[in-house]
Amino acid sequence: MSDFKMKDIEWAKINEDVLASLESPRKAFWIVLAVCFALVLCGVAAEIYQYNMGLGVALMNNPHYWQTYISNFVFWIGMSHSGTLLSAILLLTHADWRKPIYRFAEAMTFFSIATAAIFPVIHIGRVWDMYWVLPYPNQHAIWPNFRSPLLWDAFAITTYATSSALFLYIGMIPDLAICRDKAKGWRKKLYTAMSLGWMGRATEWIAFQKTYVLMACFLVPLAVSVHSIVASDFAMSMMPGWHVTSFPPYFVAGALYSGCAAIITLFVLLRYLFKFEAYMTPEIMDKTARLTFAIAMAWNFLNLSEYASIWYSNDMFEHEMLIDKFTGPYAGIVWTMLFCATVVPFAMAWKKVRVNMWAMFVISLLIQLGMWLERFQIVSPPLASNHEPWTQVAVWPGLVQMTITAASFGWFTMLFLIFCKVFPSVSMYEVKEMVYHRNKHGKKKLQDLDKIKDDMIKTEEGLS
Amino acid sequence: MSLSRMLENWSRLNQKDYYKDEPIMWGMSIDLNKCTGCASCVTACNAENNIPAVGKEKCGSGHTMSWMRIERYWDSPEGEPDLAVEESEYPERGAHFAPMMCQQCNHAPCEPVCPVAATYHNPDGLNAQVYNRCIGSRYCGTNCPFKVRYFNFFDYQEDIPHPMEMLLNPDLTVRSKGVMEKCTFCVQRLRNAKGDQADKGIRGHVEDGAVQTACQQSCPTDAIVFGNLKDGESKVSHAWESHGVELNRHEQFNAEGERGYRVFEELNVEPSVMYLDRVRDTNA
Amino acid sequence: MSQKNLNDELSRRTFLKAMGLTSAGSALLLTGCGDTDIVNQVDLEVRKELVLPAVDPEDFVRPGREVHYASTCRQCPANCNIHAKTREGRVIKIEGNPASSTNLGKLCAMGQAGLQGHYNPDRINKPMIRKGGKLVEATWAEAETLLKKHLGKKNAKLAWLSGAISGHQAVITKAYMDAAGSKNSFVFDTLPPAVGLAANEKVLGHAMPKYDFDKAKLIVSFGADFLGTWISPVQFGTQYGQFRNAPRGTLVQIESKMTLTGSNADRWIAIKPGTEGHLALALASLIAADSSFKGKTPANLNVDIKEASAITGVSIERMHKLRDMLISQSPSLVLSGNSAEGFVHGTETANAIHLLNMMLGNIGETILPRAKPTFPELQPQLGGWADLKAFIDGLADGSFDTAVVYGSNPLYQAPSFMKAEEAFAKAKMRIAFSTYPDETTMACDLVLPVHSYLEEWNTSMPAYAAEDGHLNIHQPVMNPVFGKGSTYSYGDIMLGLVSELDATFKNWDNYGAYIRDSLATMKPALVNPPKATTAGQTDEEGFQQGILASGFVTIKEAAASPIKAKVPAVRLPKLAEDDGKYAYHLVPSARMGLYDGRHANSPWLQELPDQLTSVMWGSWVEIHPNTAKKLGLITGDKVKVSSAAGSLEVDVVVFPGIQEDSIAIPLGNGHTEYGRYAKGVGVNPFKILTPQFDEETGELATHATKVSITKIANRGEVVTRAHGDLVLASEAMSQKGREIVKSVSAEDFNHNEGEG
Repeated sequence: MSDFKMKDIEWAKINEDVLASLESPRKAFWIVLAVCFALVLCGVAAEIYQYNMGLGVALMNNPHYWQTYISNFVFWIGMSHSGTLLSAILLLTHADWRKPIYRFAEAMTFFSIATAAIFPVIHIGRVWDMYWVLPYPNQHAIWPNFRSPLLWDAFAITTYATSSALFLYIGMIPDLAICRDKAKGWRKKLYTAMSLGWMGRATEWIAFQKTYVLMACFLVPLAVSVHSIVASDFAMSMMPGWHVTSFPPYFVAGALYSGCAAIITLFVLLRYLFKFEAYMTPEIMDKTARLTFAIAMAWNFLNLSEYASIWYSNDMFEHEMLIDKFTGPYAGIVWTMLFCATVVPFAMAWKKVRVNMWAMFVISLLIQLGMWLERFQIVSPPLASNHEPWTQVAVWPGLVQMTITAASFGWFTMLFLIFCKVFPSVSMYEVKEMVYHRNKHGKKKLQDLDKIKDDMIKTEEGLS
Repeated sequence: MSLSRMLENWSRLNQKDYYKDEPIMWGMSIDLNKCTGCASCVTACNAENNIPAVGKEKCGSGHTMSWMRIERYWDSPEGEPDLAVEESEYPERGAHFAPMMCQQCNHAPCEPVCPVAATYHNPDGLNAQVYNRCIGSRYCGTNCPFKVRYFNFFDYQEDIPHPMEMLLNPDLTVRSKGVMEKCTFCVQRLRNAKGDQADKGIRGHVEDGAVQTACQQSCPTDAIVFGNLKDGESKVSHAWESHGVELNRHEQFNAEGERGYRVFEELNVEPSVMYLDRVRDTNA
Repeated sequence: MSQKNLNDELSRRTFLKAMGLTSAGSALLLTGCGDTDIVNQVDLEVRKELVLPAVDPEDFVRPGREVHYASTCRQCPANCNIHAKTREGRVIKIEGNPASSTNLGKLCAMGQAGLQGHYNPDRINKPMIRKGGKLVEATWAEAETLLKKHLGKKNAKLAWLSGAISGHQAVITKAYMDAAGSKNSFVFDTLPPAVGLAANEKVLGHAMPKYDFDKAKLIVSFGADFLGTWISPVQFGTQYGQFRNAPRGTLVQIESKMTLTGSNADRWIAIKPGTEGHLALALASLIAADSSFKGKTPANLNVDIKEASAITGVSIERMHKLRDMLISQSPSLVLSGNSAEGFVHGTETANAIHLLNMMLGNIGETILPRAKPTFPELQPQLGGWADLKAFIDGLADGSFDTAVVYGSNPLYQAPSFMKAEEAFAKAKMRIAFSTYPDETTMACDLVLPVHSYLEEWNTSMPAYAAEDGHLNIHQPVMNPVFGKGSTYSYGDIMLGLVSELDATFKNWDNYGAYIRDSLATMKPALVNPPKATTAGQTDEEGFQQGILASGFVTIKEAAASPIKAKVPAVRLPKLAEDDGKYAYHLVPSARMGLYDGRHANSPWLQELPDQLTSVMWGSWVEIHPNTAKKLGLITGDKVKVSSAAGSLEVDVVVFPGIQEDSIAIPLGNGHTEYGRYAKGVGVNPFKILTPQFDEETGELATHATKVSITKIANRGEVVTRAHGDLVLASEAMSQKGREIVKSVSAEDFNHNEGEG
């Protein structure tokens, strides 16, 4: 184990390293950013085309009124659960290995919600009237339909987006203050405004800690409810294959699963792009992988129990849908999904794999592919084997849908990389805390601890 | 937008069979013994309801808009051994035709899922679609077990070449891009008929036969009967009664010889359309 | 009063003749003319349909209120009576006329789609003249000069081809041809069963007897698609509705490609094409063997049943079963349709079927006599391929120098072996009275755009009249779509032409006045002519208004004398052995929808899924699953279908309702002209028919062609519906266990529903 333990880093070095990530990433950073930007442009072009021509260019049709826009929506919402998990749950369970990676996980949460929120806009027929789903006071005296899960979605997403943005921001305030102290030019102005005059006083720290834990407590049930609501888009309908009671926990597990996989992907990516080798150590990767494995098993259990419950329901429509899933036109999708999401995670049983960055990178990508396909196979195959045999047909997403899907990945990565470039993607104060705690329990004593204490007291006195 | 109104509506919705006290409940009966599958109803519906033809390419993407379709199957459902023909290379008992359009379910799965309440149940038992309110989430379409809701994937009406726009029926709107539509039981005709009655001072009653849906009107064999199910004298309520189909039951107990059934009744959606068994002479 | 004073020189006889009323008899009296200005005076605001004429609306227009005009559908020769619903001066819906005995208020898909023909964006709205090899738009003045130059003179070499024609349109056309001194009047319509009608004429004494479907306990139809395209589908559809009431009649359909009627049969029997006569004769011989039929049957009926079974592909048990049914379920009705008659021995087949009817005593029971028509000139002429052949042959050998085409599209319909284009090109002057830019029209030198049937006055007779003497009235239901002076009624142009040559016709300014006068003249010969209904109305006004309101009149006819059927001895040929090269029979199948191709320019009908295969927009070839398996074909593959006369490339649809040795290509598509909706869509199976003709009537044997099939393209592994050429509304074959269409047996049905 000792090989992978985080080396003792001096506090000043932490600041330096993290702040360096804001200034000088590897060249690959710019390449990745450019690719993402190009994807986004393609997606914008596709959406403009679709907006002008009509949704028909996306090649959806009568039974397939929902397709990749919905599955992408579910996918990105799912992705957002990673941040909540790492930040909030692990914070509440005092798992300190989360500290170097939780910031970017939180950022991921927010950006994946930002990505997910775009999809309803792309999906609906009359975007310009979209605000009608909100219960705003209006002349027509019409309420939205509170029975509709889509309406719940609207509430859930706005709440979740706001809370996760707040959570991300609050957790970042002490670091923003550090940035403010070191930065020049526009960055200085930005950080000054955003750090809200953080001085690092003990009272501030106390208030900060309380708020942060409180937010975490709020966010955990919220995250669970958000994905349960997304699951009820399906579970509340009467389509065979959608009308499944176990969908809410299944969706939450799936969300955590794909979220963890995404964290691993970005872990490796950031480690490389911003030279965070010292912070994002194989030790942390090992722990993340173990967590992912556990969640993978939970998801697999729920997945298999879904099949079982459908099978034992003895409902003609459900049976047919299940059989069609494995043998019908979408069988390729379903089997690939099962391979990626059920078989591949077993590779993480080996420690050698768990600590190998690039192996984990590949595994995480495979799992994400599997989870994306899982969302697709939740939406499309049931529509293709719906109640009404006359309308049963397999429809594959056309170029427009696939372009917009690809663009969503570009959009997410682009936002994320810009974030990492502008804001500290590793939490400096938490890493310092971690180093401190570890050293406190270890033999070595940190030399300048007393000095820092003195400094703090002096500053606070001076201020008051 | 008052809260009290919302609560009032809510309590009405939750009241079981709230439509029980309304004087009109439109219903239909389709006799598959008589239906020949000729599809004149389909074209009549197209003409009456401003339904566009979308062209070959869009048909290929499955974007047809006809509210009514004739489903043609070659086999019987399981458990009908008495009509099975001896092993043959050919479908010797002919085809199975089912005209399929919105069944105006009384427990419509499309209604609760619409986020903006663009589809709702009106007091006449119709599953009404408010085009103006629709934002095109298409949730209703996915949740409809009959798959009879059609989405305007394009602005078809803008492409109508002159002078073909002149055949549009001014009694109902042309639908624009991004809106869901479906069979309305020719609601414009129903409203006209009710209006005519109201002019005479009669409310809540339309004489049987005073209004016909376009499909019913064109059907050469009179397979389609339409009318008010609440009117005990109407042909359609006679048909329902004599063929053993009742509202408010999701499992019908047909007595000997009663041919009525509703499609997907087991889903408890309470369709307002009753079908009558197809008949074949097994001695032939 | 639009009528001028009667010319003194005009004898009453010529006057009546001009109206097509020669045989009217002495009962007819000339009466004065009523107020005839009951025309729909609506100015149409083109492109401004949102603007309601709120101030001073024209007569007969009440904004927001629909007005119904009674008129007649001309989408097929059945000529159903319609009510045209108009709003703000434009027709928006066509509905059946409930008072009509032809269609009882019902209307088929083609009738409903009449609106799209009427408002078709490809309608010709300016005359066109060929200049320098190209058709260019011209003014009516130019066109009229040219028309008068060529048709305003006596010309024995003038050839005139019309589609199915009846009523005063037939009268005025005949009057013109007589005046022009030409005997070359031809009528051609694709689907009316010319062979069958000729056989009826010979055997029953009337081409179109009355059928009583409801009275029949059993209908055995040899390929007569009476619910789809046979003669008068709506009339027979309504009768079929009655027939299916308890006690429910049984329908047996015998054909090689399942038609709409076949798909409704209690027993559909696949038969090898061209052997329908053999089966009928075999049945006759089986029936003759029954003791109760002794003395009722012709002597020499000795058919080897085993051999007949081998020829027809119908099992011996099935034949016995049919025999039993025919004997026990009497009266029955045995029909023969196009697919049975479209062979070299078509007349013989029709006769064999007549023989069955005669033996079973159906004649006089379910096949009823018709009265001799009071006005034979008004009777429908349905025409046939023999006329088309004579027309084309005449053009080819130079016996005609001027060709006029109205309501027919020979260049599209004629098989390529007829070389119709070349023959047509030989005429010095080709004139088309046309609504649409079809193939023939576009090959003409002078194109005269005529009104659609919803814009003009006319009378017609239904191809199948449910009651004798049924005369349809057509009236304009709205002002011409393209405005006054863009298109003219065929009748008006003809009236102008004929009055050049025959002064009798100078009495009428326009065709509408001529029609109304004729009807007024016929008043004494009508059953219950309408009378004045409101105070202050003269009887004449009442009559004119009454007939327009009802949309048809009924002419008094003498009582029909019973049918004395004489069936000639049936001589069926030995069928040729399969030659290896062309192993499959081609069935050019007609369907309710595109009909014979005349409705291919209606997007509604193109988009109406074929009732049996559910294909939209385009052509396909139907192949039995076993044959497809043998040939390695699946739905969506492209094949080349070749006959000795040509070949077609078309998509495969694997279809269970077709005899294994046959393939069917539907009619209707494959237009090279005919506007945006039709041009370039699909193929036309008529093009590859081989030159074979019915021996008796000289009609083209449309079902006798044999073809070969070769696969030319795979459908591919993955075909999204958007990229496949073949557009299917659904590929679903099975209900997959769902109870969407449930069935019960007729026994239970009759038992339980009794008279209900």
